[in-house]
Amino acid sequence: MSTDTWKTALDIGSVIARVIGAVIDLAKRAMAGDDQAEARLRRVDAILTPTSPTEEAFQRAEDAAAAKPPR
Amino acid sequence: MRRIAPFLALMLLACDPTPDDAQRALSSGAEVVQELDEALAPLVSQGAQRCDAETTTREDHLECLEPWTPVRYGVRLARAAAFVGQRAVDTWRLGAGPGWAAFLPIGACVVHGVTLIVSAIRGLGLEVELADAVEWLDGVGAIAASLCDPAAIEAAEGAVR
Repeated sequence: MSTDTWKTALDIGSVIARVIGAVIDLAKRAMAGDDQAEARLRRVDAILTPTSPTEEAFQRAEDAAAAKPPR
Repeated sequence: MRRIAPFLALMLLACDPTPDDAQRALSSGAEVVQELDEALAPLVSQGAQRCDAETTTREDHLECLEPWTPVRYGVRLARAAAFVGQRAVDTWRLGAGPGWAAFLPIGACVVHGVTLIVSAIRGLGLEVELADAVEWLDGVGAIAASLCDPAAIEAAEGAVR
């Protein structure tokens, strides 16, 4: 890999490390009873795991199928 | 998808768009995907309820749901790509990452996901308003054209014909 590519990879790694560090910090504060930190953590969770109404409908359908006996 | 492929290829090679350009394109696509997702959910639930009522075994139930699978995959692909595309734009804004070169294939996945959803909706004959999605798909080519040199686009289109 070229120097530029390595630099880019390190830049991305540095951003990811900062984000993870911030999330861990939020989690620590939330566990210590900081309501604001907990609210922020929930927001991060909502961003990272967005829900899809269609996917939820499919999951309910699959659960209903799983509850039936095999053929 | 084939129609816009040369535009996308040319954008990668010849254009110098900004994160704002990418954000505009992504936001419009994400909005279309969200609307389709919300419109499809109740229809999937209705279809699933019919399957539930008409079948007595697990296998028959899953078989009954099978025609809906393209809808599910289209929504998954488009949503996941829109999500990752947003992170790519965010990273780009921070001055890190390969910028447009990273965003481009992800953006193409959003386009492909919407194409899949539209095709699945038509295949199932569902009553879902598609005008916005179709307009967006058509507009992707126009967005690409507005970012690039029209003469170069024409040449690229000629090259792939």
